[in-house]
Amino acid sequence: MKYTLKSIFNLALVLISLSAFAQDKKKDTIIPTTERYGLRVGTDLYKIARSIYDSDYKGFEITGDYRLTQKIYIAGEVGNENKTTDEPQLNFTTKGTYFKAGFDYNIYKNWLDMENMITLGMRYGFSSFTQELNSYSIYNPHPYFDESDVINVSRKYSGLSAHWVEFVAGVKAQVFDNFFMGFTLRMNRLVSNKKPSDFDNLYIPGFNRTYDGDFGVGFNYTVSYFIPIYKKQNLPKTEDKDKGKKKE
Amino acid sequence: MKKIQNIITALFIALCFFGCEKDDICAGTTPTTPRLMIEFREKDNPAILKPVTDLKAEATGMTTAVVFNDGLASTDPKRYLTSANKIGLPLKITGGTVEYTLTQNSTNANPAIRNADKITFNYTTKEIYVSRACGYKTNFTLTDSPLQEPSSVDNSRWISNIVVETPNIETENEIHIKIYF
Repeated sequence: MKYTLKSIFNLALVLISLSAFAQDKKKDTIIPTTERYGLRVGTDLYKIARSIYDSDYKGFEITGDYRLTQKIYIAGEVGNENKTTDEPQLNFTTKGTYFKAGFDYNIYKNWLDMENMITLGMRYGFSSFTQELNSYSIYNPHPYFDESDVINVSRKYSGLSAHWVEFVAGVKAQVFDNFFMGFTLRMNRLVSNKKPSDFDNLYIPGFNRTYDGDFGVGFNYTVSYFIPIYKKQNLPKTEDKDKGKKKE
Repeated sequence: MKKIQNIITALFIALCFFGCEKDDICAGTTPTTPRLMIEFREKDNPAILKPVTDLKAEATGMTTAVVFNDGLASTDPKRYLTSANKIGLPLKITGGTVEYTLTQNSTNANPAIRNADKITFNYTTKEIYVSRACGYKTNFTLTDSPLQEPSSVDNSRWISNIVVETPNIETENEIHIKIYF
């Protein structure tokens, strides 16, 4: 049910984004435009919302990007998560902080002064965290004795860390002056993973759930504010080389 | 616009695919808590495996015997019988001692043929992490040779000799104990 709601929300956001893009068509000129460069900071709404409705989760994420060239943005995220995962055989709490840094490449060509984005990018992620095993079950395929296989412990594993690479695809739409909404979808791959000796990192802050192998997925819904720093004139495509750009 | 739509559709499908993933189920093929695997051999010819007729195994303190035929109803006495030359006995995952009564010809009405022997297994346990779906498993290490009830108590023992093949009980793919009779 949770996933269905998540999916419906996704679809709604996609449709909103599409309708925003659809309005572009009416304007059609080749007048050189000036484009704004600056810093955008935001937060992940999903983590905030989940912290409210899910008692087993507390988390937030600050996102940021800086427009470096016409299409390339330096981007990153910083966040903190505290999540208790309840599996049939295991119950554990993961706490930790993560950093991600990388770039986004805007593949969407805006009309006039629109600033919407469809981006592809990469991040390098790092997380430092602890795992606390709250309870676990002994898996016994041939139970015979009347004994409980659930063992309650409070076993804490500190000093754990993970490094990973993310492939990011996302959209951002300006909803009103300088305010953007967007979402990104991420495919993650672990580079290194410092595991506890007799347990595993089944959840890593920033990376999310780990699967067999090194893969993971993630997403965020962001609301962000753009702080303009300077403007640059964007000449028509054929002359759109570095020498054609001029600071205003 | 077409390109944008394709990309967004792809993202959406990918998100749904990952979002809808079912929780893992512990696969039966994953090695988890093993049973004590016992092989029966002929005492006069140790090379030959020997099946035990209508063997029943029950731990002291339990009211039912170990199930050997899963498919049968719990009221069917055959559910608790085997005539194999190899059996697996569950051990307590928390305790360090289990006493089993192994009864040969357990359905025979003649008490002279029906024969029950008691064996005590002493062991230590170790919990080992397996996976998200399976949680942990317990492995066992036999600390000494399984003890038979002394012949002064049971003067008609059917088991002649017990040999520990592997004291470390980590998998059901190997024999841990050989019983000669």
